[in-house]
Amino acid sequence: MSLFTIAWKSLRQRWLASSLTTLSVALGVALMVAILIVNSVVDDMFSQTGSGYSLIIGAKGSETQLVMSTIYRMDRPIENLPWRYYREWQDHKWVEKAVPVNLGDSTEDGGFPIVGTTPQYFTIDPVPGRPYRMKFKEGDGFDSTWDAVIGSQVARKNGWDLGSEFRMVHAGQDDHVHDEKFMVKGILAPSGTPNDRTVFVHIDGFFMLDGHDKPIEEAIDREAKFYGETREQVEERYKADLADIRSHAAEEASHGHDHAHHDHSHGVSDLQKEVTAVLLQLKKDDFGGRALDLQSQINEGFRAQAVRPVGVMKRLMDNLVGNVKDAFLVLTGLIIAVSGIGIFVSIYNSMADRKKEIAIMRALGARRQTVFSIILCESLLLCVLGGVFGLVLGHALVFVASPVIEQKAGLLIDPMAFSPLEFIVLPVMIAMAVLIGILPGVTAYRTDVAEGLSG
Amino acid sequence: MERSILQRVQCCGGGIVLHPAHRRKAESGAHRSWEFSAHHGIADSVDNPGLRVEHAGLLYLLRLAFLPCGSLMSLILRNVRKSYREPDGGVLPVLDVEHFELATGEQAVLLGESGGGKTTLLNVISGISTADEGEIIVAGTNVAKLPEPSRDRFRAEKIGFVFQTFHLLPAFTALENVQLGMSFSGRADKNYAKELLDRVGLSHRLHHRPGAMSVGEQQRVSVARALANRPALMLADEPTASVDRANQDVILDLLQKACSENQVSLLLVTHSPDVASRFSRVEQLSNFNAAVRS
Repeated sequence: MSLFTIAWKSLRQRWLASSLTTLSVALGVALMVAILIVNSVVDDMFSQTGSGYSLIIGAKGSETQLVMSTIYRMDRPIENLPWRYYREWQDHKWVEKAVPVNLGDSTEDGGFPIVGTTPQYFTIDPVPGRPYRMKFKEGDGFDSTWDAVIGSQVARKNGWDLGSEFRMVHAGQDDHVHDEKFMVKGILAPSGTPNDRTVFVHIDGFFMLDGHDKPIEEAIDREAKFYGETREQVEERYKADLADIRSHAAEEASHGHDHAHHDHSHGVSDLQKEVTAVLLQLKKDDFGGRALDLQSQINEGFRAQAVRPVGVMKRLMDNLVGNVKDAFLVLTGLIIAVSGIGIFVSIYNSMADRKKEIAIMRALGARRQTVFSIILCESLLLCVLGGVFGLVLGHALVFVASPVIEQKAGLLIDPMAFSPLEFIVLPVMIAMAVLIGILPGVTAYRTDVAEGLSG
Repeated sequence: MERSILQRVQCCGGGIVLHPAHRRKAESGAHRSWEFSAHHGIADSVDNPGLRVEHAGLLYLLRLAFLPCGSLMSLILRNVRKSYREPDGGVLPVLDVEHFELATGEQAVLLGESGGGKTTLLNVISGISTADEGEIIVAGTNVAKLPEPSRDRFRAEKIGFVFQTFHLLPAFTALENVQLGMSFSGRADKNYAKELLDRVGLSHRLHHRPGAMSVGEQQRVSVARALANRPALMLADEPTASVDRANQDVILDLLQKACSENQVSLLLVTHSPDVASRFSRVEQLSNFNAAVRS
């Protein structure tokens, strides 16, 4: 009969106390597992989403705000940049892809954030190696003016499917609903990224909406100021467009044009277009230093800022989310430690009742080390069983909670997700068991056999 | 010459067990003939027919005299003393045994009142407690000289214990209680454990826990457990004190029969003359424990 068998039978004899102490350990471990998994998902989302982009270029301001608004759609966009600036990056020799992103509007139903962009947006993996998975109706694609692609959560919550139509609310003006309707042409598969709760509309359609084409005079001033040019220089650059726009305006005025019923089907001049941010994917270089070069080059100027999304989010994670994570881990660690103390108290208290049992074993020839080991085995069994039960319970908790979390917080949690930190749970449990078992074990070790037998 | 041989015979571990009365006669010179003392002493004391020397002559006795000490004895106590320190600092002598022997296969009962040192004596013999001085030779090994881990091992292998209150572990079934005793000697043998329980008439109760058994059955389990390691010496501490008369007879029959069948020496301590009457060798503890006499 092995020591573990003897220990197990002894625990079974005190099944209520044993079960409760095991359960307390299991709950602590389960909580820790759940926190670790949710944390790794959050960590993954924040540290990896957007890592497919070399740089994000946006208006001067907070780096975090630029990333949070562009990648996570959790913050308001800073300001817009001239379309010409985007074009320049498009033609840059180091740039593989430059994708314009316009933000600020939201859907009329559900208030999901709108991203006005080009089809190229979906050619850059937001996380390297994890391309967009999308379902399209046969023959359709995200390439026409009024096309839209929606995230999985948007489709589920709004009950939209391919072919559904929707309207948008203008940025910051809840009562200003654009007349134009976009049609859902693609639905993204769940990815656990902010894209799940985003609506992507074709940028051509985006510019067609009322208020999305900057008034001409304002646009000239803005571009002149941005590039440090005179109004004349800007007008000279857009001479053809301006002539067209002005003649169109004169024609409308002579026909008593009612702007409210304007169909906005005419093209928008590049001068009037703006972009909230530009996502850059650089051509591969030998040392990966181009991103840094471009970033410092842009940031030294006064026009815009460039950020590396991974770096910004890592800082944010370390400074804010990291602390929260540490706080949670410390908390769960304390819960497990308290459970450990519970086990200690349970075993230690039982020692008084078990003096006789230990004395009998000693009388039958068990050595002091043997009874010490039996107590240690009991502690090990309680801790390891609690640990294993906690791991299972923790994953079960995640399994049950993942659909709810996805629905409430938009976090896509793999029910079978496993955090590498879980590997240390059992060694920690074993170490704790040894610590817990020492004192009761010594009590068993010191039990006076003759006294125990007569007691 | 006779006296010298007798001493040598006793020295060889008391290779021959003499009834105290005979020994006293021999030592005082009342028995002038060693044949006489040998004939009567051995014939009276040794139950094992193989050891009878009625048919042995001088040559056999001489051979015995030159055998290693203790080779035919299960237990020899020499000048064993133990005392307890009292709370007021005084010393309370509990054991003072000049000489005691028990031959292989012999069954003896020690009769004594409560507080007479019966349990202490058994604890000292089994190595549970240590004597202050003296020799305790069990199956040829001086237990008093063994360090504690060796005493534990020795106890597991050579000594069977039957307690007054059975001392079965409540978490274990009858079979597991018997196996438990084997575990500590490293001789786990489930089949033998089953066989022992079968021999004590409990083959139908193998998987019952003590709580589900009668006191008589529990004591039978404890007898089986005590025999599990094929001990050389069985120590029984008031084994029938907790059972009724009917069970007392059953348990004593069982204990005596089991020890006879397995060639195990039995030393039983009791305060009950009724129990003692079942044994051919009965020792009054007060006769050889000077601590009690004083």
